[in-house]
Amino acid sequence: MNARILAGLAAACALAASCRSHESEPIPPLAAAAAAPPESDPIAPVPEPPRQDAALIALGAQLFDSPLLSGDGQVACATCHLSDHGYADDAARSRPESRPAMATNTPGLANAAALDVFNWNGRFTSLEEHLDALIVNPGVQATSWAEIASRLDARPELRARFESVFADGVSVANARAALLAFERSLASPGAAFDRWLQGERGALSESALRGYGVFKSYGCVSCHQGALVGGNVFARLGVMRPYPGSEGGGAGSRDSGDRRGDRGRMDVTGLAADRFVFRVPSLRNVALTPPYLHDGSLPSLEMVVGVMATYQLGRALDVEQIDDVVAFLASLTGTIGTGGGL
Amino acid sequence: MSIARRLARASLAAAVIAAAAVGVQVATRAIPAQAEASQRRDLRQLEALDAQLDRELLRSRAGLVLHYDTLTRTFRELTHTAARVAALPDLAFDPGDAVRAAARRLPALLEAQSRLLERFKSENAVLRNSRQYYPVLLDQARVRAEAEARGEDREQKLVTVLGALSFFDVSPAGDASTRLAAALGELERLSAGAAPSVREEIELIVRHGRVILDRSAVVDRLVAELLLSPLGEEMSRASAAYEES
Repeated sequence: MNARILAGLAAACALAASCRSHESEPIPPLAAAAAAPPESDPIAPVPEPPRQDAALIALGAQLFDSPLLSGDGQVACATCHLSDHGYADDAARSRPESRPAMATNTPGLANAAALDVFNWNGRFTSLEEHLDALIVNPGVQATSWAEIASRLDARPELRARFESVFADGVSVANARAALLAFERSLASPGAAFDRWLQGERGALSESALRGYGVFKSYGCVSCHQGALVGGNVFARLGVMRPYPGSEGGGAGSRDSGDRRGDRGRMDVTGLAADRFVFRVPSLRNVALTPPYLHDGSLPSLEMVVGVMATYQLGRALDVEQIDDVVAFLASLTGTIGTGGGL
Repeated sequence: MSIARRLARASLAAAVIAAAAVGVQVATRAIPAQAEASQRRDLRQLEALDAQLDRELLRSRAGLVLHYDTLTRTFRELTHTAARVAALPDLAFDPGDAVRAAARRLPALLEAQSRLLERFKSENAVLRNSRQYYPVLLDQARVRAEAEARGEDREQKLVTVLGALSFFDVSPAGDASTRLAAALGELERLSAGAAPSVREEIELIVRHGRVILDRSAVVDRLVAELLLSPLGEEMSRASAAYEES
């Protein structure tokens, strides 16, 4: 008997020593990062989310909706990232319960797994950094991972849920992993434009096709390119004409541009030249996520297309051209949901 | 229990313990061996990724690739690989000063390269925006000039701008820049006595034209800086030093 125990121990030791731990292995950044567009095309179909455990994603979805993730128990991730609004906010600047308004409009989360930079100013370069910062930010979740783990552990139903997914139940690492898995699972396949790219000729209306033509020939596609139709480059708002407020002298109805969010990339680099430079937003699902621009100042796609033409291109588009571009943008709406579950 | 049975049990136990000890030793030695192989692979991979980044950069500048996904992905892989190299895994031997120094310098080199790459993408996007729109803009202006009774001179100058632009596209250095700048200057002079709508159109053409002229030079300078980045050379030296050690 003793010999068998010793032999078992020895085998276990040898096995443990020879096996590598998988706990610290990072999740592949994006299973379909390989889904870069064909080289001759500026846009490709939206990438697939990475393959992940379905139970982990479901747990993350539950946490995403839970106000237990905030210090005062009033704010969930879903408070500002509305599932029926492309996981963006419908307010110009989110104002979670008893907190000041955010500096910028809340961007959508769909296809976040394919992004390399987050926020309008590109402060964060991974979903992990982004999530960690929001958790401790006093204007957002105003808590800590340790407090979150403690609150989750105090709820028997949540404890049981964690134990069904993780052998070690509730922990900081597990809560974080579940939330990240959910965020990475949000994808938006099935857009009419993607089906058209994949050969379904009737997937786009005549208007959307004309709009795509304008989008390309008028140069919009030089920034809004790649599988996410943007999201991977920084650009100045006001390339051909100074955007109101960007030079301190506001035109139109906008103010002097002293608001925090207007500093854009300058908040990260510290360079005055980066004032009013923002991460070019992805246009995937853009029709679902008004209001627009970094300050949420434009309520409709028609307005934002007009403003972009004026300040980035230097000329006004006619109404038909704007309608066509809007039809093209609407064709970028996919079915947003969790994907990649195993 | 007989002495013989006790002896047999003790021998069996000793054999099992010895086997376990050997197993653990083999396995723990396997970790540095794996780490060594992985470090060697990563160093070589860094050199390859640096070369790939240069290639993608040139393809992007030349307009052979119309998006930044490939460039971004290559740099992401480079960053991840560099992070592993910079972490200097637990090796069974001293990798030497050159490798340790390279590992120390990597984060700063990557940071500098990242800043240059972001600037390249941004400037190149502005350049492309004007370059893609320019034929449309010039054609619309030409059609309008053609339809006007006294638009002949303007039409001629627009054609000259288009010709200078084609020349500039083929060979942007020296003469071509001067020629395009001169053509834009000629066109600009027409705006003085022109109707407001014509003046606005000419100003827009001149503005986009100057974006093409100025940003081409900026983008080419950034490409040159990126190509001359010491990262690749540093990795080659570190890789060679690692092999020697």
